[in-house]
Amino acid sequence: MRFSLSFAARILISLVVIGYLFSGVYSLQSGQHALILRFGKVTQRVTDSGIHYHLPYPIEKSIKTHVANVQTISILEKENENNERFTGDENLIVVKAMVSYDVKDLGSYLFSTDNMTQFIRSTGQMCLSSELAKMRVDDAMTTGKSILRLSVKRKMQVILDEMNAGVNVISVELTDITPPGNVSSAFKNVSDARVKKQEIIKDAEGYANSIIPEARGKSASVKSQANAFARETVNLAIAKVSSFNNLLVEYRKNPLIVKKQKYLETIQTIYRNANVSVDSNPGQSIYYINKD
Amino acid sequence: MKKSAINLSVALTLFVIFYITCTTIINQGETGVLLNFGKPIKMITQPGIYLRFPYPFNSVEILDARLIMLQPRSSEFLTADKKNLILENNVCYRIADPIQFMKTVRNIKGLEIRLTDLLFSHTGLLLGHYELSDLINVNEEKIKFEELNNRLTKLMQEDNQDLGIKVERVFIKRVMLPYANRNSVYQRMRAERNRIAKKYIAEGEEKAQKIRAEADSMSRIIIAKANSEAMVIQGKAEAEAMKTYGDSYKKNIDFYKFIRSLEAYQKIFKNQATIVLDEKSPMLKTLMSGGEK
Repeated sequence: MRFSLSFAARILISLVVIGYLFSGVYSLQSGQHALILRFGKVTQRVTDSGIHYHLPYPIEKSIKTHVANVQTISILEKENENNERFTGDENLIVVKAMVSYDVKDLGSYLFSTDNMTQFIRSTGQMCLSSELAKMRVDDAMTTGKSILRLSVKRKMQVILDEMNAGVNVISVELTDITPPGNVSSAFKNVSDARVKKQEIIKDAEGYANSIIPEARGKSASVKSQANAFARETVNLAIAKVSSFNNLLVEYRKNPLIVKKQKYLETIQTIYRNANVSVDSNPGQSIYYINKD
Repeated sequence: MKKSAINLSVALTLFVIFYITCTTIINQGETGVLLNFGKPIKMITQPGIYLRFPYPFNSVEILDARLIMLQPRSSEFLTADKKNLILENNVCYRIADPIQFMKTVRNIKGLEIRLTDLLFSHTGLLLGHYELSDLINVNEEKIKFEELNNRLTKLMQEDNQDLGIKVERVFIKRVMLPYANRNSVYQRMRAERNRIAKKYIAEGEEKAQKIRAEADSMSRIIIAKANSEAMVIQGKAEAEAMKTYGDSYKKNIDFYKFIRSLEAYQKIFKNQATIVLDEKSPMLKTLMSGGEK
């Protein structure tokens, strides 16, 4: 009985000892790194994924962190109340920004500051303020946006390195840059005016595109009329001349007859259409009474 | 067997008691102060395991050695050009001298109140040397934002040695006008936007007018050119006709004159003209003479 109890105790003790020794087993997923602290001091950095062992507590302990994960935090929330910022031309602007980063140096990342997220956020806000303070509002909202992003990113990296934060800034995204709420309608007017300007020009171009072909058409018709008139004139001349020539042949044969014939034809035509009266006493006054 | 087991467990228990009462572990990112009857005597800045006498002879106060970001509320200051500005500043510091820190501050809360007061007074003094245009300017060379930040950091670093901390950096996070003063900026922005909008419309109209005028003059030129070409064509045709007439008529000018006169009479008396004839007119001679002679 005594023996068996002692045996049970031995087993128990060995189990406890084995369990204690095995408490130093830990595993790392891919992308996870671990720092091993021996009596609080960093002695080793483990980067391979899989099963690892460190001496049991309290001699050594491990701190595991996902290093490969890109973390994204917002620097400035648009919904935030005090979110307006100055641009260089003393306009106010509302910015919403995100920063993505990953861990460059795990030791620095874990032990440089008590609140890394807040640290990065403050750095980002300062950089954004100081970079916006150089820009014109129109640039910041349009073409300068990418410059702003890059310069904020660069500046953030410099400051974070200076503070030994162990962080690598991957990108800064300006998710929203807008004018303050009660000025936004005026900004919209500008973009409307820009559209209207194009419409006005398009209208004028439309007018030009219609009036010039119209003129071309008109000029073509004037020219073709002129050509027609020219042909008519020439043809008429040819016709008249040929009839005169024919007549002349006849005239040369019998001048008097042709002359008389033409004369009488003419008189006939004239008198057919005229009111003819006969006066027996020429030289006296004539009283003309209209037929009607 | 039994004895050795008891010995082992006694030794283990004693070791654990010794470990708990007579050693202290300072982790990475921590700093410690060794206290002798509550009096700070030695600071421990390196991580590792340290031996000490058990409480109440010795104890160790462990403090955070990492950077701490103090975020006081934003506050209003006056610039050199008498403008009210709201500045939102953070102070980044770490406990550098834990003994001094424990002597003067004792806790973070008290430290933050003192640090905030310092920050406000230094910011107020410094900002009195700067104008708004030194902080905000499209001309990058005139901006002294960085300079202000650095000077503020330096002042904050010099003026707190008794606190046992080291200010690493001041972050000027935001420069803003107080609410009451922002309305004038909004108004100016609106006026400027309206001006730009009007400029766009005016530019559009100017260009449109130019396009229309050019189109009008172009179309007029096209038509005028066509008219002049038409006149040339007609003139040539008339000349050709005249030449045709001339070539033919000059063969017998008298006969031509005769025929042309007849044509002229026909045209002259075309409509119902009234003609009075003398009864001795040769035209009527045959008519009047009753067919004789």
